[in-house]
Amino acid sequence: MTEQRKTVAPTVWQRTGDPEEPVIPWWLGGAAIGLLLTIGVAVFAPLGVSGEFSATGGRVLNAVAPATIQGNSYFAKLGLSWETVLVIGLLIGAALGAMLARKRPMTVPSVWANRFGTSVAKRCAAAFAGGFVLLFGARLAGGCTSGHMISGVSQLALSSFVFAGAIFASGMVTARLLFRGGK
Amino acid sequence: MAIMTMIWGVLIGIGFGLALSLSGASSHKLIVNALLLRDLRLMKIIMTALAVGLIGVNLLDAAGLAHLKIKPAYLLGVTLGGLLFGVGFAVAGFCPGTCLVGAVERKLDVLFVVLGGLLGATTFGLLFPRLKPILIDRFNYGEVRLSQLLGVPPLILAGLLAIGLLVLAWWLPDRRET
Repeated sequence: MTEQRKTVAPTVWQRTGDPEEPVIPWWLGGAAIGLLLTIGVAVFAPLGVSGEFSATGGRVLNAVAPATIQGNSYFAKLGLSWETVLVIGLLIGAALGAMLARKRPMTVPSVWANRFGTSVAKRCAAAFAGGFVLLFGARLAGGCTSGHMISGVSQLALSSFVFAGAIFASGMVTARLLFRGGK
Repeated sequence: MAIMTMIWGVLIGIGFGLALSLSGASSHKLIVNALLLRDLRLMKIIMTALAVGLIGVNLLDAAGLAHLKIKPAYLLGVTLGGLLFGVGFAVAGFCPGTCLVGAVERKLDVLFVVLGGLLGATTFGLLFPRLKPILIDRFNYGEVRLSQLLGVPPLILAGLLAIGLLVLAWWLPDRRET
């Protein structure tokens, strides 16, 4: 019998700071998110992020061109909401996470670079276009991965099961079309 | 909103941001490789979050302590929105929550996902009065829960789904050789 050498998983502080790799196991991240959602539902409401994107846009329009949103019920509530405070926390948490994991700044993701090259302009243009479609879709469907899928499926909402099926079906097909042949 | 609620919201948000950042959910590589089924760790994060959420939320609900917010099932708009979301998900390589985290982590391209997202969400808001009668008011079945549809108690259905998701998450490999 050969003696097996024990490999000890490096702690958060010993990692290399690779901004594309996790520093905690998937089950810990997942359990934390599920628990935070449960606390949210106990305190006030489920989690949600995407509504804050349109609210932020609405606040800008309200400041620079209020006529454009006059009478539009979609921009009726622009004050501080549950989602506003969640997003403020989210940004703080992200900064803490980046510091703890010593994440290095980066420009072009590795999977993208392997397929489309290292042009920063090209990647940023795609990122902008992708972001536009992403949030337009989220607002049309009424939520995003956290607000619709994770919060919604946890509440057994029919709508959210449909949403989850649609995003993964279309996401998987699009990813395959985009990155086919890439490694 | 009461001040205590706001404090809770910020604290929950901090935990959420930390969880997304540390678990690698804010990584383009993890998200795109999940959609390509090459690396299933992101799927496992989602499955575990759903399992814990299903149990927690429905236990609270059974105890009468849940503040639920069931999304209405306007099937045409939800499906179309979900399909668009999926395209953006693959092209950007991020979702609305993770792109905010990624931008804070000083990922330059992700800042452009956020900017595009702000424009996309605002554009939808501006078109909302015109889109509502076509995509939201039609085929709208309201705040339906799957448990009602199936005639099963919510906690039972949630428990079964949670067990299934956890078994699947443990059974699936982290990565697939390609």
